[in-house]
Amino acid sequence: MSPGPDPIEAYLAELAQTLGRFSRGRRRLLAEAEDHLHEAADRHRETGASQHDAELAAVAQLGPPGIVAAADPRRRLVIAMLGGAALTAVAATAAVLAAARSHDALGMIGSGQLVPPSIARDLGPARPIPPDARIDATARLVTGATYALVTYRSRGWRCEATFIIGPSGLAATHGLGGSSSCLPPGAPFPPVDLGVESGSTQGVVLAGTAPLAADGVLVTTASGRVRMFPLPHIALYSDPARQAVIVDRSAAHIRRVAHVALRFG
Amino acid sequence: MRSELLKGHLDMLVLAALRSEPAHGYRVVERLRVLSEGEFALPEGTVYPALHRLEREGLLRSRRTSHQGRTRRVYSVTGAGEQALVGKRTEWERFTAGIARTLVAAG
Repeated sequence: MSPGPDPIEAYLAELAQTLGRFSRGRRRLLAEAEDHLHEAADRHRETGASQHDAELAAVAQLGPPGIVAAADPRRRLVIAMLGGAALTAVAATAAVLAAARSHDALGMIGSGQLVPPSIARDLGPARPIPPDARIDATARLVTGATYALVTYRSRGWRCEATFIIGPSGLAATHGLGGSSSCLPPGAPFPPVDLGVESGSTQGVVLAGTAPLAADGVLVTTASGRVRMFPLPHIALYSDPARQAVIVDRSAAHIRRVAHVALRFG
Repeated sequence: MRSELLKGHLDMLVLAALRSEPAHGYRVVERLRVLSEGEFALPEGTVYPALHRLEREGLLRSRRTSHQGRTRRVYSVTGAGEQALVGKRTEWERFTAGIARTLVAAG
């Protein structure tokens, strides 16, 4: 069996493509990623792994290029303008919607916000939801009434935000990083399903357990390449034929893969 | 610890990991793994947005070095970073104490 392409080289090419030619931090990020991958691969080789397997493991550990590319200031600016800055405004809606979806959690969600200063800084200045914004999906409390997911659209952009709901209200947020917060007009929007509820329109959840308990999904593609998709960026479904489907929100497209292995934390 | 929970506190953890001595990205990840006794399992690439963000905010500084023919960027905590870490730690301790009190009171 062919060992496939050089995993580190392929990863760096994909990262370069993700960053774009005019990224301000392109050269620096590529150099840092390259150094990181080679050092990680060195460690794996020290344990007896082949060069190819060591590189595969290093790539899987680093995560999708979009995660590293999020360090690029220009990409972060776009995220802040289109996604992150709106999260504060959406937060109250998220809590209300989440409460409406989970009667058990009603008593846990208050009107006040408990947002640590560092989190508030990450959120950026509060902005009203644009007049044409429409909450077009769901907020859902999962895993012990802790998380809420909201998707909304504004001027053709579709965005999603995930919140951690604490006992005293909104306690913290996540999902600010990465480019999955908003998708441009016309982009295919993957179905939103955190995978906890079975019997959804997307099909039965893989593995029968809450995928949110996993750190991510290791995927071996047809070319033999191994990639890890961290959970904030993916959702897992199986279609009626029980073929595994991975929705990579960061890339806004659906991948059907031959082999899926859940890595539980 | 779940990645989602960890993300909001990554800045504090990165500052803590760099407090003792300067390090490059891979070493920061390693330190987080060792210091947390394997509890933190974020994709390793997550550390780079945090490192760059902290440097832009003046909490870290970096310098470029060369290691075995490869370019390596080594980060260290600035004075402002030291102060920020103290603040973040205090904030975290108050926050978790509040959560714990609430959960205990709720039974």
